[in-house]
Amino acid sequence: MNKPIFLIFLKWPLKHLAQSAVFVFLTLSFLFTGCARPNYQEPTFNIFVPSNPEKPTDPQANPQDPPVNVGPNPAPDPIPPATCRLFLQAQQLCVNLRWDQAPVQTEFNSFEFYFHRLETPDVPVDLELTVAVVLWMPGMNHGSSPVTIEKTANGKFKVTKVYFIMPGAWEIRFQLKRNQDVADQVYAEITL
Amino acid sequence: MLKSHFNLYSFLCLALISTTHLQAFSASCCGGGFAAPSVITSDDKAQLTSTVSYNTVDTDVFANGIWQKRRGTDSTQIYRIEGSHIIGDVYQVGFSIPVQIRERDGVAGGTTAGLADVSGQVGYEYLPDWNYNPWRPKGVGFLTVTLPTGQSIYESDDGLNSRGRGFFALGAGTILTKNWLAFDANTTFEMHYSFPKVVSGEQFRGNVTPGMGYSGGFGVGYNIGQTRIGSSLTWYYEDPVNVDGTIVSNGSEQRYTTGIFSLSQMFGTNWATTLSYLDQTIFGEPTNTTLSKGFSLSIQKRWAR
Repeated sequence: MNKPIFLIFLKWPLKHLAQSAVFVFLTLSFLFTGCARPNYQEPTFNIFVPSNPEKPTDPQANPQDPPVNVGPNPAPDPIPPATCRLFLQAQQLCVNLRWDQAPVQTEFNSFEFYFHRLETPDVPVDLELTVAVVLWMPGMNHGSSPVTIEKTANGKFKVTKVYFIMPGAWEIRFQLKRNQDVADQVYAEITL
Repeated sequence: MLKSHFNLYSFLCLALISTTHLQAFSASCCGGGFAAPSVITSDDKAQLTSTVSYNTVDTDVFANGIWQKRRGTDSTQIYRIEGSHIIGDVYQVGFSIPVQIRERDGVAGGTTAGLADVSGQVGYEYLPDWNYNPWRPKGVGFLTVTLPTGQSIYESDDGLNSRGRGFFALGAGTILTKNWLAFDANTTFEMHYSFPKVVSGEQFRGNVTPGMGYSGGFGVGYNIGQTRIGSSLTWYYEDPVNVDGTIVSNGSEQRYTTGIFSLSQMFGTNWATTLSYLDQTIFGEPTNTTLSKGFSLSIQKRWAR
């Protein structure tokens, strides 16, 4: 008995159609078993200065200061010196940090800082040690492009070309060096 | 039947090449990940593959699980040549030489080019396919060595010219392949150990300890004559990179998953080409990594035994 002509013409594509359907089903099945669950969030500027458990007694100080989240791009207020949230233990010095404007990941940023004693927050202290500022990403443990530090006055510094090569959680590390060795160090955390 | 069998294995080989090397596009800040080797899984004597790929960073995933779309362009082009040759009936040796061009826009942007991490491997076919078995796959085991010929993030001035992980690494793994009718399937598992190193740079001086890394995945393909369409999923894990020196930090682990869709076409019996699309944003539970999307085009020449 002769087969209908349309069955002959349909045999080839039907065979491949069936196999293709099986393939697509198998592919989609194992692909969807591993689908990601994206947790997208808009970028914000968030700088947190970690509390120092050994910081000197200061009736104004609050060890539980919350992170300062100032949203998309307004310039943050300078950190009040009385809280001394960036404290260099060995040198018994505070670091007062002030951004020129809220940093963004895609631009060069800049800030100023100076060292001072707790009891004299407005008096910069000059140091004989070498001052270094390092941008460090603790999750992946690598740095960023080097910053430029300029001494503007005794104990006062201007840091420019502050560029974060990728968004995420960073540390701004203030290092005091004697020759090549780090004599003292403190860091501020920032999330971009 | 024999020709179909041969073609399927050739396709599998090309498909595996087009998928396994693409894992090098993770964590673009730090010069990419560990590249799996170019292994002969067909019945050929030798193969030579050249690949050009283009990838852009789409998303950053932080260690706390937050995703953030990357603003600006950070793209990587890789030109890679890979070759393998059998020794005897079951042994093989191979190499992979990549050249990377990195481009980033923005105030600290620019373009750099240079050699990335070079690797070599030896393989052993521990499950040969000398007689047909409907269930037994073909299995090839391999040992790899990766040389830190690409400048790493620790020696880089601005991260832009970072083209390698920066560590000497040894790895081992296996590839299993099987085909039924017009379908083919493959699975890959690999583990590697990256050796610690001492770094002396402007930003950090001390010891960098990377640890172990693993990858595993599987793929399927469907063949219509000289054409193959395929897909694969591969999961990657890297131990945290610890630093101990002027900065002491434990780091965080890295995870990402690469999904690849590919279209392969054979020209005669000795030439084949594969076009692939890679996407790391769709699958898995990534953490502490960058996620990329991109394309690659491979051309392969094979020599029969």
